[in-house]
Amino acid sequence: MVNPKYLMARSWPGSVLAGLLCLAPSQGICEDWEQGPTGIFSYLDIGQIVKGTYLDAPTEYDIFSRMGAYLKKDATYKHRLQVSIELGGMFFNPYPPIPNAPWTFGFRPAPGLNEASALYRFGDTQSPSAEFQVGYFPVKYNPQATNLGEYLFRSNAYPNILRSGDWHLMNSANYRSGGLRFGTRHAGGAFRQDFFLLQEVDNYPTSTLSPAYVASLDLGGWIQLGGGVSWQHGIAFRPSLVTPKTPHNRILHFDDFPEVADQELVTISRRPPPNPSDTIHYGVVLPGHRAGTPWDISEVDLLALQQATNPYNLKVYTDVATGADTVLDATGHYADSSNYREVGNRWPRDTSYTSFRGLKFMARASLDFGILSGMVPGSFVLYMEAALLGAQNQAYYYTKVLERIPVMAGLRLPTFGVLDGLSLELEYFPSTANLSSALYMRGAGSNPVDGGGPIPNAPVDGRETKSSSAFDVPVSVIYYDSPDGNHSDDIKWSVLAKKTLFPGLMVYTQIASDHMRFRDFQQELLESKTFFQRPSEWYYLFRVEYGI
Amino acid sequence: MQRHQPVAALILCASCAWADVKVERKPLAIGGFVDIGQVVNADSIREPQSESFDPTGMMLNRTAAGVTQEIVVEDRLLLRVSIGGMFFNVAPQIVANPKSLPIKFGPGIEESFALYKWGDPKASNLEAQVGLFKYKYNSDAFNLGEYLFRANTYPGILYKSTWSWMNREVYDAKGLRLSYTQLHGTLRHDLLLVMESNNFPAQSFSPGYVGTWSLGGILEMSAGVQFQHLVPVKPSWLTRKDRGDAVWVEFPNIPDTVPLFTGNITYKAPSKTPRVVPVSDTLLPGPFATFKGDAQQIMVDTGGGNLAPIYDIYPHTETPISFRGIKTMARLSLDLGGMLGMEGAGPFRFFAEAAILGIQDQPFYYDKIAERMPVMVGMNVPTFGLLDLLAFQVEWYGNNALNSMDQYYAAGVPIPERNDYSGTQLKKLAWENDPSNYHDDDWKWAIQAKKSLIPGLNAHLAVASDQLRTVNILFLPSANPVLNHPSHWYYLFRLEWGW
Repeated sequence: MVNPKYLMARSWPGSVLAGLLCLAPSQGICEDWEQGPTGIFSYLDIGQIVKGTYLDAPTEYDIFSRMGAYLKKDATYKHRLQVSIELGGMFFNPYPPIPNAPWTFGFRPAPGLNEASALYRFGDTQSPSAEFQVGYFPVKYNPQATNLGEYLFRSNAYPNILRSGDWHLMNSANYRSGGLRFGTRHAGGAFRQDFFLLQEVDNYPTSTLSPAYVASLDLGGWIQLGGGVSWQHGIAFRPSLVTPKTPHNRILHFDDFPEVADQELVTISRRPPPNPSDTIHYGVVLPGHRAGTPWDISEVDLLALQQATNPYNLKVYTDVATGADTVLDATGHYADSSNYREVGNRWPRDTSYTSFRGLKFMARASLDFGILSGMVPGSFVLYMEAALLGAQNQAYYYTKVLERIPVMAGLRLPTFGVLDGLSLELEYFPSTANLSSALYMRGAGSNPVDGGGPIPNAPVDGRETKSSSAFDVPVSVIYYDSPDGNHSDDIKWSVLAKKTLFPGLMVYTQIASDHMRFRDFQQELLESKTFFQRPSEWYYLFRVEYGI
Repeated sequence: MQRHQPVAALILCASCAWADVKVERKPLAIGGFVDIGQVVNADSIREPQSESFDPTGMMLNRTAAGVTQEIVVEDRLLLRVSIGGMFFNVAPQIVANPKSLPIKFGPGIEESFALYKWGDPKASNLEAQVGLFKYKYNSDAFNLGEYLFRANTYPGILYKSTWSWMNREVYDAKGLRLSYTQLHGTLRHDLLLVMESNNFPAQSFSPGYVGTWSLGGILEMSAGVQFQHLVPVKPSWLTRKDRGDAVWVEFPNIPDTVPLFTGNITYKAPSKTPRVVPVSDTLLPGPFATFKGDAQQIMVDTGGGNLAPIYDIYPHTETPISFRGIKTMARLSLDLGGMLGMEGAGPFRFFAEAAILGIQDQPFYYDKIAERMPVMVGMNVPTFGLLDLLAFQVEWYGNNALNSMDQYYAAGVPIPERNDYSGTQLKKLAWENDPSNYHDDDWKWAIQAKKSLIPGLNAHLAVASDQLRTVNILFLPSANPVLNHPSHWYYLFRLEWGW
């Protein structure tokens, strides 16, 4: 008679099922399974946005709190196959709270799954030469990063979006995803390689698979080097979502763009103004023109543009009298065309579409002064991480590779027993766009094909000069790009302190200006930019954590 | 001894050294229940998101399950996490809204806290608790009562547990508790700092204190106070200055007789008795007070046929109604069984509790303190082994408004409900037309019986006319109570298991 446990252990699904069954006390097939202790991980967060920005308006003194409670259980089959589950939930307060909408204030429950994975060890089970993990599990390749960094998996390539705390506002510098990991260890564990095939869970289009590779090298315990690459959205079951061919995402390439001077506007229209209904208001902001002028384009206009036979009749008009700011009426249409001179008509050479898919690279290093100076290892560490979020240039939006490179440096300071740890982190990311998920997340909403695209949100104060003959323009997105761009949010910083009051009872304080985003009452991540648009905007967060 | 740390907890843990820590992990406990019951008699009610519906005959079904893990560290730190979920139906179920029909599931964190004891852990007289924990100062209150923390001040709203309709008359405290006992444990002081999670404005901090004195195990007395919303998230949230019906305006002196050119208004002048005047009445000289919204509509002739609001003409002071308030409580419990030597006959206790839900008067809505004083009395009756518990409770709460959260919860205004959602047709309640107001729901009653069938399996039966609320399609407690008259009642049978 075939032993059920043998059958189960012959296949991965069977093994996982057997492991899950054996998480609970039982008899029979579970005698070869060793149950681990049931662990508790809980915390109570209370914090305050001292100064921030929400929907382009200042916000301050917003108190926020969260409460998480999780139970973790694992079981091991002959020390080789380990299945783990960590589940629980959270009470969180949505943002923004609206007094006359009860569902937007108070605490909302949210179930949570932190881990559900199976890990198989090859070779010596105490020091495995390789291991294979499948399921939903946390990935953390930068052990020192407390808040910033960990770019490779949790950041997005196109558009560039950095993330810090989401559900867990603290101690969450990692990436949780479903997928596979195969890791090998060499030279006694000094050299480590991990191959990943992870599902995109936060970055649209979700459910694509992103192959990745991460390596780390430990040199004598006091120098750690690491590097990695991720092919984000590399395997897509619906390729049309990876590169949406929508008007919203279409780029026009003109070879013979005319010379334009200061104070000039560019429009794309099917017919010349002043017939406003036929004018596609597309803006390229030229020097001297006030940036941020809202020229909205309607969906109707987009559809008309898409369906026209020769839709890209380019006309350049120069305001010869009053300057560009005065020629648009309240709706963004031309009030009077008499002040314009027509420069000429142009047709695009080509069109292209921006893609979500991209290659991300990461490199990191850490130097443990604690080991060098005889202090507790890990207590005095300098560490850094840099990434390239999208190695390929793409027309118009992604033409400068340096704008896609975030750099983080951190320092863990010795506190000589006063604290368990004190970490300072600083980040520089010279992206000209605001790190907003607005357009991007809208694309991930109810109308993913027509609504959004892999395009960044407009920076606030950007300007651009375009006077060459070759010119790429997006069809529908008002985007003000420039060498100046928006750099108010380039620098982020974070301080984290931890103190253990009693084994199993810890307190943390985090003070930061980072990429924190809140969730609304429907548990959706807010579309808006992060709360902190400049280094002077910050929050503090106090946590009581208990678990063991 | 075992230790486990989640991945996230490893951060900044370079100097953690817990290898020699004594850790005692309790067996994983499970629990669950099935509720079956029915609203036998009720009147039509209305929810803000739905049409009126009659809950009479509505079945009350719920199924819940959960697991609890406790870990004791070094004999003095107790960690406890209890999580689970519940299957339930929303109410009302509307055929035209298919989303309201199928059974729903709601996850839940029952408890999650750390409890630390100073001194000898087995005889500690000082302990601190932090997290989400159940707090219950009235051990006898099985349904009604337990007012101090779970009731609201302005408006004075009484609650019972919405998610579990039985055996959960506790306050779900989120915050901190510090307890100190004296006189060999007979005198206990509980100091709480909790975050408001149900009463708007949420997240404000409300400190409280409860002192309990046990006299020979026969008589137990408690008293407490809570400063609700003492530390708000935003002070501006404590009032609604934008609402004309939540700002009281007082004119020290109306110099002359002034004809009114407006609709019906409610005002006080010169006595404190509210008066409703119809269109084109005359405003008497002297002090005058009304709501800001009404004052802005009272037009007076300034001469030559020019009309202007008195609000713009005469000096006045404005007093916004505030959510912030001080609640007090007193209770006693008398063990009659102990006094009469009937310990073996089963619980035989008399108990009572009274509270003041806001000791400060506020204009118009809250000018009679007696209307903010719920009183509950109850008794456990001995059954000589037939049952484990048989208890009765009666409550009187002379509040002159419906025990509704509609104004307060849905609109976020610190004023009581002024629409009567009982009856087949909505009708304006009380406030504008009848100062005696709404008292149909002043009396509540409850009966509960419990029987342990086998260890770990208990049966409960409740019959009551209480503050029963259902959960609506938004997963929020219903704004209006199901039962608004002593003749309205339901029964609920529960099979509960756990180990």
